[in-house]
Amino acid sequence: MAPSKREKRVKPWTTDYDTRRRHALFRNPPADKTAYPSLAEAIQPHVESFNGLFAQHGQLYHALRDIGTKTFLDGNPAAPGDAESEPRNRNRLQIRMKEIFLEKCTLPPSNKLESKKRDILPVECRERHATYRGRFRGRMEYRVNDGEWKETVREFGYLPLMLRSNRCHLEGLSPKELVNRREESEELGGYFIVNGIEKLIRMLIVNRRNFPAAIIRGSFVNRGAAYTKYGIQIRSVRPDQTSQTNVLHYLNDGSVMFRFSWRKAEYLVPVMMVMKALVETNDREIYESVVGPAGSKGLEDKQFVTDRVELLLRSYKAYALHSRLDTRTFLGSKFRVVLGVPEDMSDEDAGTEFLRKIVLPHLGSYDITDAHNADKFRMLVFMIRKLYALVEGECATDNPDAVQSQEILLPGFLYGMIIKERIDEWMNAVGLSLREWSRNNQWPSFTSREFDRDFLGKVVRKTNENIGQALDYFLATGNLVSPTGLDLQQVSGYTVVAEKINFYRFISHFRMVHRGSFFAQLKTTTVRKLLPESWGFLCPVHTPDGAPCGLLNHLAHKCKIATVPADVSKLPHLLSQLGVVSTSAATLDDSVVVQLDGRILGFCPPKQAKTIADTLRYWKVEGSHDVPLELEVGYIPTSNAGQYPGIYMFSAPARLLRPAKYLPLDKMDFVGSFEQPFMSIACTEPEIASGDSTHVEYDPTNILSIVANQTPFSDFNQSPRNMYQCQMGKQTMGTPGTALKYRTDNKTYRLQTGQSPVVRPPLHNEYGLDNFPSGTNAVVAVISYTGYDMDDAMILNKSAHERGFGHGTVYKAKKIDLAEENKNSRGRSAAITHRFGFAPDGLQKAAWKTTLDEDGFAAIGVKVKQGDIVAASHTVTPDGAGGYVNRDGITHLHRYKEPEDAFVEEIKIIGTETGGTDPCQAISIRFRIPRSPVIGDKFSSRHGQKGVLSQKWPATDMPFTESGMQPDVIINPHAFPSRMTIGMFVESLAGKSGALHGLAQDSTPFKFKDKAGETAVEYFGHQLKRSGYNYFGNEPMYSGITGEELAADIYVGVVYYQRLRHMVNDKFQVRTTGPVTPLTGQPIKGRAKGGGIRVGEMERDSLLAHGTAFLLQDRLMNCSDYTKAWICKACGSFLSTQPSAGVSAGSRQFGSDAGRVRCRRCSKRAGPLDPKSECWEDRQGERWHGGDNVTQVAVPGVLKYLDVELAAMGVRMKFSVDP
Amino acid sequence: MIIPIRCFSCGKVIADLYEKYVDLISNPQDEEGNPMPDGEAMDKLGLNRYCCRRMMLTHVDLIEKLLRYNPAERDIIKVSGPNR
Repeated sequence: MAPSKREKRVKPWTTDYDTRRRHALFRNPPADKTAYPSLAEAIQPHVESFNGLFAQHGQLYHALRDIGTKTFLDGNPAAPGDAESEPRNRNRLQIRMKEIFLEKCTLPPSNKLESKKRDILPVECRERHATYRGRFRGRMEYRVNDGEWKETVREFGYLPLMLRSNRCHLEGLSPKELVNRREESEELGGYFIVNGIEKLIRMLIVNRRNFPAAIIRGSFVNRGAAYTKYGIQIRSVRPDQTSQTNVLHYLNDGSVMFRFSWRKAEYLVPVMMVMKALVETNDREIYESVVGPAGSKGLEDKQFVTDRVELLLRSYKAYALHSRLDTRTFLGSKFRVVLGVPEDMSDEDAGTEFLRKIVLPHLGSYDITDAHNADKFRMLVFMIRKLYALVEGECATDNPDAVQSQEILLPGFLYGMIIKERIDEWMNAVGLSLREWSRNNQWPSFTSREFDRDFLGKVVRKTNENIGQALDYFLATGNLVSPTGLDLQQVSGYTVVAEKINFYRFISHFRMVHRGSFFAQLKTTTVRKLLPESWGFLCPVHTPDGAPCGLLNHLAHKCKIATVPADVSKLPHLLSQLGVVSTSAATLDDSVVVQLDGRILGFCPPKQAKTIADTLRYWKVEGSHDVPLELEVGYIPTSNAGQYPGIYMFSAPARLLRPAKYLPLDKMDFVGSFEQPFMSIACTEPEIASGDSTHVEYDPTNILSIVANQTPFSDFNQSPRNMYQCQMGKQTMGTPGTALKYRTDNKTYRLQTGQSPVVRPPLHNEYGLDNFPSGTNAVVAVISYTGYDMDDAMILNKSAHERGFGHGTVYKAKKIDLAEENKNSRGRSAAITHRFGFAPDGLQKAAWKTTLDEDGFAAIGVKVKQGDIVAASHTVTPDGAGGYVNRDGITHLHRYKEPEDAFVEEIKIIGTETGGTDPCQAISIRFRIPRSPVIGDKFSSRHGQKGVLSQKWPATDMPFTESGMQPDVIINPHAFPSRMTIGMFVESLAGKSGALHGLAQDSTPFKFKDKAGETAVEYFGHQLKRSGYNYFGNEPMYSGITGEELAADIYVGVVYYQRLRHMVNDKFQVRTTGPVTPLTGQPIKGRAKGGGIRVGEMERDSLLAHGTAFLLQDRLMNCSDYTKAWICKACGSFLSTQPSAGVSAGSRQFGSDAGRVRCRRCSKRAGPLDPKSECWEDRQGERWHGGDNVTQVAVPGVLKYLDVELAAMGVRMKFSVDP
Repeated sequence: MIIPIRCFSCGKVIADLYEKYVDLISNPQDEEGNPMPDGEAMDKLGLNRYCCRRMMLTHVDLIEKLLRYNPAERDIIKVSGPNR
């Protein structure tokens, strides 16, 4: 594991271009190992945590032992109570999982065609939009009563596999072999392929395991009458990585309650009860272990604690439970239902089970011995001590938002936790199924023949054994369906798509750490703050702005995460040699605790604690005395009401670690996030303070993430600009990869003319970023030239554009699945009802053939526009002889639906997995859309200086320098003063001199000093001067229009420009007329649907302020829901007007009045005296007179709707109409 | 991907020089068998302006990499398919 042991290291990378070496790597990918080991290291937490799942004595091994044996009884539990229905007289069936297996991805057994090559490679899953998964099975054993264990192998479906893990075909392959398997040469793995989409499980921040943290939380008071805000919380993690949180609450009266949650329900138990159940003890022992031995020094000062412990002990008398047996029986009787223990288990055993499963399970979760329980007891005592210390004000709280009290929930561990829970649930489901079977069969005995016959075939088969499907659902949606909640705070958002927009984006996904979606809703911003504890673990720069700011962090590039527990078996012995004793004195000044992974090893005086910590550190770096390097020795010194002192050692996985140089030995040491705040680590060599510093950083840039490290001269920039660049770097149109031919992403961006930056840090090569170029070195002039560069717009040289500057392509993949069309017939029948191609005897129009070939698929390379046909299919029915025949002669057409013209790049015909002779049911078409830069596309430099292209300026009118050069890009000098991105100036300078000298410029931050003679400007200025250019990077320029020299010299240089993926062609939204909302008559919203853009409240205000009434009228009325409506002038109502059906029956043939609108409200029923010519008739044939004072007005359509709504509430609107 | 035909900024034809450039910086050029440094190689090819120089210097010839994914992929699968 120790990285120093790696034989034959790869030649280290420098800043240089290494064109020759790069070419060699491109042409012949190495056949032994990757040339970029750092890259593989970056995703290690993902792959290694997955590898640990099925390893020997791995996570699931422990999980199965933790689940243990399930017992079910026969007979009718509701039967009248006689001796026979006593649980102990009934037959017992026991089941347990012996082991589980996960296979690599292969063809299903139903495919009998292929005999040799049965492996399914990841590339095939991507291309077929399928899931990369392996057969998942388990060996279950069962017995009746004390008979022989019988075994059966159950099929648990297919489990999605992580790429490059130990269940992947790509594990350990060299770049050459990867290329031969149609993968990227630097394929890293660490993600899953679900339905052709690459998904990964995001790393999540959780509380540090096995450390009792002091917390003050106001909401604790709401738990009950006497509850206070004080608590001690420990997230206790079992060997199978599942966790159980235990909390001790301090009550006003001085007593302490033990809280836990089990299956999403919370329970509170007096802590005394738990302690008495754990070990056979007495009140004096408890008293002395909490406050210190009687008569010891300083006891008289501990009045606060002694008072409360006395009360604690006394108040427990009410339960009258004295022995361990009594207490366990009591606990068992209360919790047996909750825990779901077998009916025949005694209450005492149920109590034992309670202690095993719930109370501090990190100190023993299966095969419990008395020593385990003693450990748990000692830990509870310690927690009570710390709780009283917190209440007393003797110690401070542990900050749960600091990385010190956090660890990472690793993807593989979460995956394993879900698998464990699913297996557990399935075993419970066997019990339910058994019960149902028994009920339906008149409660047969488990010893009967019927049981033997039916158990596997009927009982077990009836359960849902498809565990693979559950994991598939988890990965596809990111939703956690769990009856226990897995001790986590969220139920969704666990997985994200590993988007391959460019390589920065892709690699960032694997270094991303999320705080949890629970905190996203929190109104306080404390959780988002950047704390000094994060130094070296989380990147201070690389976090998005906006909603997820500070919650979505990225690991510093040298930060690693422990994935396997370190071997600390020798440590307890070692510590006792160093003078750790088992009993504690009364005060913290006399003895502090020594813990290892949440187990109390003993106590020692504070002075000695320092010595012990220093000694252990020396040994661990030295590698002697069997102290592992990954061990974290958190020494918290005694302080005045600071953090609770002691030595807290951690060896468990999921911890954040980072390398630093240990000065006494001049060797690499791993520093953990818990110990760091109490260590003295010098940032640079000159800062080492003798007698204080124990460590020194290898490099100050180690605190930055991979992406943040790529910003050149980031120490010259205003800090938020560096954050913006981290965002924009990930949105750059670059090179997503080179195996693009074998990918089926919905949308891929690709830059045609990618270059390697002139100005870059050595890490650029170290992480192999030249394999994925993501920008172009542009000659940039900072000048206010045409007026088209106002407000962050940039001007592009039209000739540069024509020669390919920033040219890009978008690929879109569309899947046409005929099987989906079958689904609307009831159920998912496997029958084939469609096939591709023209209907054999049907009509084939010549117009179809403009895009289609004879086979019914679009011709490769053909240009398609919206509505063009890209595939043809027809219905088929089986012909009885194994074939299919079309009977209707109708050809169905599949069209290209996007509005943008595209070329058909490739069509993949996807066969069935069974490999049978059935006709293919799906195709995947890849369209290519050329996207050369157009006005409105977004570009940016690497300094958070983004802008849109405003003009492609003809080269003839561009300014030129003395050597006749014209800039590719012109930006406005006003972009700089307020943003203070000096790094961009330096990059420009360095880029220019680098190009002139043929150098790659090292842009690592913190390399230059402020001292005169050692500044960056001087360094690059002198370089420029040597090649005959102005020291300051200015050049005289001539106007492209007049040819006169410009009054000022212009700052020209080479800057790496990124083209961002936000392009006008994806965004423009225009509409004259189009679809409207039926209810209001206003235009619908949404670009995709051809809707309009809302002129909102603020837009309206500004139009008002400008006095542009006509425009306002036009926007809000004429172009929106302009309606002509009839209104009655007399009663002022819209609602009462209605068209008349005619004047009267007699004169209808003249048709004079039909269609004229009248007001019903103002009319009265026509009497015999009313003149017939003034009467009108409604549609029901009723005759009315009057109501002809109506007129038509233009109103917004929504006004009528408002009127109707108000009328429904009994409110009448009255409009007065003039003239 | 493939070297652009002309320099973006000044329009000098550069694509024809790339192979010469790669040869100069990869194969022995002096008596001691050292290849030429990047800067000298560009001087020799007559690339004087920094616009043309950055084209040559920073070009990433990704086509070499793309050619590894041979369109005649049948060969790949046959030679070293899943089960080799």
